[in-house]
Amino acid sequence: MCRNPARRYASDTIPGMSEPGSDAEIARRIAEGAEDAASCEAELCRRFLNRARLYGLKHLRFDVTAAEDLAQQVMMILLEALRAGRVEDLERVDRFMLGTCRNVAHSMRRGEARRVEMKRRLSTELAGAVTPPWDSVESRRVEECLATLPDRDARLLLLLFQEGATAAEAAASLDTTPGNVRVLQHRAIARLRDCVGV
Amino acid sequence: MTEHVSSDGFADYLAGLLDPRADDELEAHLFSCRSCALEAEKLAGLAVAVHRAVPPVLTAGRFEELEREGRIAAVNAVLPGRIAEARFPPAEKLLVLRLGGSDLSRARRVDMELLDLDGKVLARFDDVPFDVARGEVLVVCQSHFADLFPPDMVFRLERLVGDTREEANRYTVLHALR
Repeated sequence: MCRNPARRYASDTIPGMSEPGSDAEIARRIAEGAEDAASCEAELCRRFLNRARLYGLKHLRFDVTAAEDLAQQVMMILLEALRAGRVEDLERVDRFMLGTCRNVAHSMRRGEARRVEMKRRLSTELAGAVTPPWDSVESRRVEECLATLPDRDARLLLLLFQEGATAAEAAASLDTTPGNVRVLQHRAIARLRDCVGV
Repeated sequence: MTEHVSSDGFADYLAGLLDPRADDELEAHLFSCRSCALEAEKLAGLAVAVHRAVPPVLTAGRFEELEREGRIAAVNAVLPGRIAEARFPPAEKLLVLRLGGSDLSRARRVDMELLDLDGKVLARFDDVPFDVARGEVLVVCQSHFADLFPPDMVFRLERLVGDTREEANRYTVLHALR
């Protein structure tokens, strides 16, 4: 069920292959130590690694190194737990992942996780199975597009994504209301996406 | 949350504009929904690129970050009324021009124009970050700018004091081509 060629995908959509099974089915194959457990682990990584990376980006202030550490630790914890039969509800692997993300992020923010990170690394093949979100957009293209946006749009995006401004801080800087910051952000992101082509 | 999340919702999430409960709900959905996860990845890639982007004018905080990351090849102090010489930085590195010597103590806003030596406006940047105490603006020069702008240029700073717009200073910079 889980056998897939070892190659990189831009997402967990696998070109030319039929749906390899639900998350629960894949988790069950790993937990049972099935013949194709290794390929099922790879498939689970394809499905969940980027979600954990995304969680890390959001909660570790866009530090891509820390986000990668978090994602790999979380995936390893999930795989180890499945192999050891410690995941009680195989229908809700997503909940296990999210809970583990929260715990690991909490530890990392307290500076505890670095000590164990080297022990919890995915193989290069598994970790490289899915292109990380941060490698999917070319930085220079974004810089060029930011330069073409209305100044207010570019300023807002830098305030929010670079300086970590709150809605109130961004509003004060742009002489508008916190409620309007969301509206302005949606418009600025739409313009940027249009320019970058993502 | 069972409904799919809109792109705007993900953008708000990544920008930290949602309240903690909405964050939690969105995350629970994100981990259970593959199509939403894929859409969120696209926005995350964009958000990281914005986070890493080097704007043409830096805040003091961003300047310090870039220095810590080792991305700044050189910092040139440029004073008004003098012709400064600069060298385009190597690829992936940055040259920072400290446009100093301006009285910005009463400015509520500073705008900047980039001119060629004949006075033609090449680019305009409104409401740029500025350092009141040091009276300076930190401009970034990147290697690929050599393909976008002429090597010799003038930076013109305007300050808004109350409702009055006035020129603060002009800075002439001659760039050697690598």
